[in-house]
Amino acid sequence: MFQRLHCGKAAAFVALCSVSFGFQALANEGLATVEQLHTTLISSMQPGQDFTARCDQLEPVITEIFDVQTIARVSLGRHWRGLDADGQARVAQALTRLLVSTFAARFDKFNNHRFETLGEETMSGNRRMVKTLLVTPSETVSLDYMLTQRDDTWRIYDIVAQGVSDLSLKRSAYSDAFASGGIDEVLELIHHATPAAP
Amino acid sequence: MTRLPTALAACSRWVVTHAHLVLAIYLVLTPLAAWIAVTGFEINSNTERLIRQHGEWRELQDQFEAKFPGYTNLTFVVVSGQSIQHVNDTAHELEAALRARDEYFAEVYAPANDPVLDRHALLYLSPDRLDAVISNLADAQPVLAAVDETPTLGGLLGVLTDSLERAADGEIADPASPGFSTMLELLRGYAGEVNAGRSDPISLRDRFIDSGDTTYNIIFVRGRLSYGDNLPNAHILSNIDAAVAATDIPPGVQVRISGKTPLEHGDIASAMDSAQLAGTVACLFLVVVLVFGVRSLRIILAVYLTMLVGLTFTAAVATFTVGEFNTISIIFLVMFIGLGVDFAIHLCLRYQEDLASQQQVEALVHSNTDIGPALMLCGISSAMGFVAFVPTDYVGLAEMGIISGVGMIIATIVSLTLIPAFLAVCKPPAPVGSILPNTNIALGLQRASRAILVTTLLVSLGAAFFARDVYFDFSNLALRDPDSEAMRTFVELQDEKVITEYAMQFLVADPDEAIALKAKLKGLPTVKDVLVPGDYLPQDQEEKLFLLDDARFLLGSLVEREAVAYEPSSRDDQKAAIAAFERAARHYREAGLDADTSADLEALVNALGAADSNDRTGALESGLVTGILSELDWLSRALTAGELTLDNLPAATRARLQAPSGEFLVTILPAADMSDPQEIRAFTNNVKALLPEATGRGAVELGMGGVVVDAFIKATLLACTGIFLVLLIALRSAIDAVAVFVPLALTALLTFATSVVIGLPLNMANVVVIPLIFGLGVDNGIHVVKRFRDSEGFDGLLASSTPRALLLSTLTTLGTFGALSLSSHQGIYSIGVLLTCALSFQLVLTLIVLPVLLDTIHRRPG
Repeated sequence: MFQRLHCGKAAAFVALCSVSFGFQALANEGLATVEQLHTTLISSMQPGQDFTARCDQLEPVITEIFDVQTIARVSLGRHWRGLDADGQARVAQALTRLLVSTFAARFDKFNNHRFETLGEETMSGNRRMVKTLLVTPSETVSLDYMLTQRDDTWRIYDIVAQGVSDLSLKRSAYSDAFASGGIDEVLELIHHATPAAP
Repeated sequence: MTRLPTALAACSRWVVTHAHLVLAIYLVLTPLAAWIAVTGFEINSNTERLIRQHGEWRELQDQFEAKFPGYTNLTFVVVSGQSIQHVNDTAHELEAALRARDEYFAEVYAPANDPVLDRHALLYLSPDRLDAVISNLADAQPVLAAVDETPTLGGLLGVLTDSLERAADGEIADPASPGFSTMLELLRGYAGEVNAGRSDPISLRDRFIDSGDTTYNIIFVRGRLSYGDNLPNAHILSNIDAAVAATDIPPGVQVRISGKTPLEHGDIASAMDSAQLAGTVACLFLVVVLVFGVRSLRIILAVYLTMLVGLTFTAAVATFTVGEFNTISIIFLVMFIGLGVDFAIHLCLRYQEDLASQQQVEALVHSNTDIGPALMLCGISSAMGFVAFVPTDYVGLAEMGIISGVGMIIATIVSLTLIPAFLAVCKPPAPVGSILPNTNIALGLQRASRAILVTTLLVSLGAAFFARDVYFDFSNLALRDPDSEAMRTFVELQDEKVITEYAMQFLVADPDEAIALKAKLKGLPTVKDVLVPGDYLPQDQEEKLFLLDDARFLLGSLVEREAVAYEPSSRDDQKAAIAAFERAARHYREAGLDADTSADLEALVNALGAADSNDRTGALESGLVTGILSELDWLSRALTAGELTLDNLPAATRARLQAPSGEFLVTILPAADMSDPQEIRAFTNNVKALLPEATGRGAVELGMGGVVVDAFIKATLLACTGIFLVLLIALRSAIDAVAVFVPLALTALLTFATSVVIGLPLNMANVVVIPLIFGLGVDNGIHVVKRFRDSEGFDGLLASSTPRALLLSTLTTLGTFGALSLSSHQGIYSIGVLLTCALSFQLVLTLIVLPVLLDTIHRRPG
């Protein structure tokens, strides 16, 4: 359905909205973060870079521009506050590795990938949404980035792809896992979902 | 006293010789009395008004009620069911219907429907439940977002179709997360119900917030009391019923009515029904007893006529004197059926006996003159048993005393005038003798007299052993019909800890004092919990507000969405969406992905196919989309709720926590089951020891119970003293007066023992039984003594018509009181049971023990 939406009148609607977003956002600060991610992803896909090299290139950027603390906190819900500092650090670390590896595995070969930015919207609680499209020759995917500001930097905490929130998927999976097997089961689940070098 | 028989004889002769005139007078007066009784009939059921209340407990309660009027004279409209959504929708509709009739209601208070509390509903969940609810919302996020974006069936199925296609193509990981399965299952279930005819929208709240318990949404209605009306509660309740009838109640939702107002109203209805039922049964029983015992149509007619005329006059005089009946005095009308015929039976049987040796007129005059003084004496002594409550604070029984006392006098006068007049115009019936013609019985009794007296003594000792444990159940609830809707709902609410009427209240100057007091009170063994104003706010709000923040991260822009209107998509679009979903599902299956989901997926595909072929896609779309949109509207409010404080509580709720004069309410909840009066007493006394100024229903009932017990003791002493004096004067023999008194005292003792053995404690209604034992029982004793003297001993007594008259009159009385025990009204039922037992004991004691006692006493000197 998202395909249809972007092709037809909905695209015009989205464009219209992005005009109004422009008025709301005082500065496109969230946009800068998202564009930094996009640039890094495109450059990581240069020929000759293997999975490990891509990971090495992505890791510092992802660590910088993703709010892994928030992702971990919201994913685990109430259980997060029950963890000690060490446990929290282990989950955050595993989640960072998951993010880096997933990007490295998904964006493995440059195939005329193109990111289109549709606009930025402010939300309550010092949060923003940046709407983009990922266009490849085979498909167009809507990617909405959710950002929150910490230490004067806008960081991504969720990517809504085709209307499905990645953070919600994580919450669904991890909070159940924690309830049944505690932090070990969560780490196991993250590890299982983390793509390894081919 | 010697002048009385002469005067009576003259009167009787006049009545017999002017029989037609007397009957004509009755023919005119009776319909008049009936008209007065019917038009003036009123019944009051306010149990608190039945007792004259004074004392600190009443003042404290009055002060509390003046400061917090919201807690008194309530009707609870209880909406309950498993579905939170259905319960709340129904409660909202019902609240609107009630408010539309607000000229009848002083206040309609629906706390759970208040927008402020609705908005903060999530904060009232426990942190664990709230966390679980947020995880559920995470499961639903894709579907919620899809419907918000495109509110059609196509929009909703599109996000699932897309996920399946992309998973099959290997572009994303398998979507078979717990959340995905949950959504498939939810949609499959709803589609199946729509195919089966369901038309109301899907409820996500039931699915996501439901804890499996019954949801209660209670609307508190305070009626506008109009004291000018006979039944001030009737129009309040009929308007509530009308509002319920105007509300669309979905299957699975129950709407029930309870609370003080309907309980009291039900009390009248139940008392009236009980009185009618018992009256009918008593009248039928009377026919049976009379047919077997009298075997003369004329006499049966005379007895019946006397009873009916006496009843009519009594009811008429009651409207003059007391003005209204109450739920206890109403039963005197039933009792009268049994008591009123007693005099008639004695008179008629004596007449029948006298006919053996005399002409009709002489027999009538003679029987009247002979038995008249005894009947008058009985009338006076019975009246005393009833009137004994008049000087007490138990207004309800005092009123009954006046009605009954007057009734007994009326019964005497009607018997002595109407019966001779009626029988004078009829042909005389065939004379009969004793039912115990065999004097061997007399001999047998005389021989066994020692054994009888010893047995009586032993039984009395046994009864005394049990009677020590007799106690008084002061609870108003003990009188109600336990099977009525109001009562069952009331007990359920109390059992489910939703509401208890037996909490105690105490006022403090500031919230801190309340918290300090709470700690102290919670140390008491009888206290389960203490509610201070802060307890009505959600607990652990800081943590929960963090959790709500998590939810705002998860649902992103959905939280700040603008309301979207649903517009149905075309049937073709709906068909196309279903077809696309079917293709994606097939594609997904062919790719050999997760088998766990496949059953749900298959079932959803089938349900959608069935909706398509049955032309239910429109209903499916509208139900899904409107249900989800309304849930999103609520979520945007609920997820952005801030901290709830006493200051931002709705005014109606605040008024229930803080008095206009500023004091705060502390509510103390009992630990034990309050259907046990001993527990109410323990709890009330326990709290009062610490807080002498605490009040509450338990304290009021205990106070009223104290008044009743005082009244009971006072009335019993008065009845005994009065009756003993009457006996002394009438019998002119202290020893005979004592002899008549002994069976009565034993009857009272046995009745106490019965109360203990059958587990039917004394209560506000049946305390009337004990003075009545003396008032009614003394009649038989007087007849026995008189006849014992007249017939000069045991043999003559037993050979006379007296034992038959005693047996018959006691049987009719027993039948009437037995009929009372068929009542659904617990108060009337308990009077019926105890009086039936008491009269049975008394019959045996008077017919067997009293003659033996008299015989023993009077033989020895001789």
